[in-house]
Amino acid sequence: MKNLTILFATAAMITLFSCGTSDIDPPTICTENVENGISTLDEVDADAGTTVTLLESFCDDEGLGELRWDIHSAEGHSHEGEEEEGFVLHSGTDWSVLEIQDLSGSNAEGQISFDIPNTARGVWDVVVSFSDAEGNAATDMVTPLHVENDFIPLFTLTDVNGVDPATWTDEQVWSAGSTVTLTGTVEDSDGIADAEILLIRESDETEIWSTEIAVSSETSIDFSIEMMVPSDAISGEYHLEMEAEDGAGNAMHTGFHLEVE
Amino acid sequence: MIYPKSAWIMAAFIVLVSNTIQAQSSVSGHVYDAEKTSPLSDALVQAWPCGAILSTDSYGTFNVECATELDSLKVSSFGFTTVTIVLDGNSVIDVSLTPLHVEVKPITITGEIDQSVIRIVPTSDLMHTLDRTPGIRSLDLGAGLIQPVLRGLMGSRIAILDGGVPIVGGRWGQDHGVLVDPDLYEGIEWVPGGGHVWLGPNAVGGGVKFSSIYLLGESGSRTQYGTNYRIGDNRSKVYVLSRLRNKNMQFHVGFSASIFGDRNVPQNTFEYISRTYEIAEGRLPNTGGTAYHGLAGFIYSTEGLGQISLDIRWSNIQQGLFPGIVGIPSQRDLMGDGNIYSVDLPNQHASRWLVSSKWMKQGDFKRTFLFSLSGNERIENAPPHAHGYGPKPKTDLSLSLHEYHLFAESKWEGERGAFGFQAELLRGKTDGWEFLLPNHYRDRVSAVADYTFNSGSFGARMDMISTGNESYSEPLYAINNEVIGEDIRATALNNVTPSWAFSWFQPIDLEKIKMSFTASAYTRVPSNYALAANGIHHGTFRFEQGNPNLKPETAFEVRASGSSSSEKFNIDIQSFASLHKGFIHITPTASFAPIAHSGQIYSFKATDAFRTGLEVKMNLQIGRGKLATTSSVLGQWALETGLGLPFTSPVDIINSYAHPIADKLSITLSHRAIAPSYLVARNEDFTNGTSLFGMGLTLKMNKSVLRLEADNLFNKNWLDHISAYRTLGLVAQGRWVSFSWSYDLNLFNKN
Repeated sequence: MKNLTILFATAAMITLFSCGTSDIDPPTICTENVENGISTLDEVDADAGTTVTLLESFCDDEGLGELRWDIHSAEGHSHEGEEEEGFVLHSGTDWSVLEIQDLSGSNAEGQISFDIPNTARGVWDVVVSFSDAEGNAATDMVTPLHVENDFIPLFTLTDVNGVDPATWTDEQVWSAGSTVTLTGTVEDSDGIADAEILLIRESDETEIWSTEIAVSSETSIDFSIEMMVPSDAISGEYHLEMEAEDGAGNAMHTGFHLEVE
Repeated sequence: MIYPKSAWIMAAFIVLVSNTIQAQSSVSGHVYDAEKTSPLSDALVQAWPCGAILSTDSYGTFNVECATELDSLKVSSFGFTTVTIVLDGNSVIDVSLTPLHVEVKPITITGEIDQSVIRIVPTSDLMHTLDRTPGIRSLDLGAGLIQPVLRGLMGSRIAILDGGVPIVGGRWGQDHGVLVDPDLYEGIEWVPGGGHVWLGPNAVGGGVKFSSIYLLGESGSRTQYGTNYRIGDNRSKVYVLSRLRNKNMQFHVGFSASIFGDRNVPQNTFEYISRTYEIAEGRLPNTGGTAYHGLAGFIYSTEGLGQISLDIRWSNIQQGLFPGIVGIPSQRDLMGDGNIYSVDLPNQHASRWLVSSKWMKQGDFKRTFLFSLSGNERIENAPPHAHGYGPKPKTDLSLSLHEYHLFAESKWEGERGAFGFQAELLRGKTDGWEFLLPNHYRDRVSAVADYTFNSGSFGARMDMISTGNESYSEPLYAINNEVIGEDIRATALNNVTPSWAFSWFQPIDLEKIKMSFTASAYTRVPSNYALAANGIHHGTFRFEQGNPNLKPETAFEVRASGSSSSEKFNIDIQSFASLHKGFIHITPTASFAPIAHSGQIYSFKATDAFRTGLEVKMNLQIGRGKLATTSSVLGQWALETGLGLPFTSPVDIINSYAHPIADKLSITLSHRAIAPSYLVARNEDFTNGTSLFGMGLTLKMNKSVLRLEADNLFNKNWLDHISAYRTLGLVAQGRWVSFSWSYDLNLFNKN
């Protein structure tokens, strides 16, 4: 009976190797085929309020499938092989782009054009995912998109409790009842009409502390604020929110995450 | 002086040892084949009057101990006559069993003893127990929540029976286990392979059976209790199971509770959708939780009425979910909160309740009627987030699955065969802002029969299965959150489909080898999930899409088993080969999900497949010690592509050596080698092999057993190829050390 089992298995294996296809190679990026060398393989720098066009060329030995452009804020995470961006105050992080395109043939170009909103500032990840017709997926390609912004006010933190935030490596942990000194500037070419700093409890979005920065329509204001973390602040996740509005009515929200214990 | 925690645990271990050494009434001996004079392993030995049941080891050895004076032993083994031996005060006795010959009438096939059923020897940890059973692997989803993988298949492709009732809650994928605590059952058995007519149409990979509580042999009580603590994930557990029989009525009740901390892993970083994250403090944050299981029931037995039983079981698990499972985590989610037992968002709540009743009566035909009603609930809570465009949800409820299941079986068993009917109805309701599958139903009626001829046994089952689901749609949003259309995620479906199974079992008894051969052919109707899923499946990290056009698949399977034993060596081999026409499995498509952060679409597809495997179990006596080896080899291919089927478990070999170091104390050293995953599906990552060492100390006393077990002694960083966590590059649990103590107290009335 065992012989029958072996015979059965052998017959099936022969069927297996005679019938199966073996395209297991994922598609690749073949940038060298792109005219003028336009590629998303390098970092992309762009200004808010402008239109950006990205172009890439894809190859597969059998036939291409789909291409997806997924552009999302880089805040709160990193990607493999991506260089550390350091401390970045992001604004307009809700903005994202998701577009799926069909690819065909063994060599095809994919292109995307998008408008960067006037509210965006910081770093976005451009994630390019692509597959072939068999479903073999290539490793995602991730490129940072640096967005500069001249429309909305710019907050810069130069010192938090005597430390330059650019040197932070870990999440900030503040103690309830402690005093935190925030030093920096807020600037805008249209003048600053309003500026405020708030401490928000993330669990219920409750504002537990806030202060307004004295402004008088200057284009650049230096500030140094002593923030008292309330002694009754519940331990947990918080967000330091910095908000400003310029003379033209352009509002800006930015900030960073921290923990209170 | 401050002593480390391990010192306290060791002190407790010693105290327990010293407290539990007591006088005993015991009998030991061997069971052997009267014709071949070779030992019989796995023979059942029941001691009277206490009713304790145990099985012989691979050398036919047994040692039974009871609180009361023993007067007789009842010994049975498949294919042999059952004998009752009066002890007459003997404490050592050898029992010979005479082989049954099929031409001799009547053929005695007792109870649930079946050559296709393999009893699983329990350890203190269910996952550990299953992983050491050839042909079975398990996915660890937390205490009391497991997903067995039988010959490479899981979920809706296997049957898990609770006292004969199919458990339906674990059919949705690797992250949806069944809620069960083996300490509240009489034992575990596994039935390898597909086409078993009484297991129902889902049991393609086979079935795992958790045996419900037996009636004690006479009036009295039996109470089992125990506790264990595991260093690693800091899991603590207590359980008690008690039976009290007074004449015709027995009540039984059981309860277990466990708390477990964040899982320890020898890993510092992992990757999710190309994002690299750090893991703090060597633990997967928010993976701790609690598990509770309970049982209450009775058995009433009279000669005229037969035996009636009622069992009520419930399970409740509250467990955190690793932040990477539901949505994209931020690094701050992974830093831990300093409390390994705390449960934060995301989390899951799984519960199950079961009410089952069984009536059995002996007669010309043994009549059995089993009826059950059960509810399975799975709730996932997560920080509200929208995929793509749309408003942010207002609640934490990301997904809930409520399934209500009714099962009934009526069976007539004679000397040569049995026939009966099965019926089951399932109603599933889903909710939450993360759509995965719509409200659905599945009903089945089956007629089942088996008959033993002089040469072999034939089984057949005919089913009529009705499956379907409601339609489901949700608003389609633009970037400004305005509704611009309707996103249809499921269309209504109603199918009525026949299915069937036939099997032929052929035993072959050679001079020194017992062999059997089984051929089966069967069909399987697509699951509701394969027909109608369409969404992000957090537990598998994929966008999974059903296919309402799927048709039933057909399989032809042959199985061969052989066993041979001599005085110092025995071997059991199980093998199978199975050809599947239109095997339904999930495969990557060329398309990407239309919502952010959800990757490629994986859809259910039917392609021909071939599966084959071999499981070997060997024992060799070396002096006073015993060397045991188990191994599983599995191959699964999609014939259209020649690629492996998803999650094909690689070859593994477990070697262990047990040696007595004192009268009742033994040490076991073990090694588990897992081969690289050479057989992978499309887009499935290759997984390196690994080598894991373990050890154990077992002290068997009068009524109690103390165990010290250690797994992954060198805290090796390894990926479990079949685990969903492997997709994230998350390694399996690191080193753990478990201390366990169990006690079995039998008190019987002296008449």
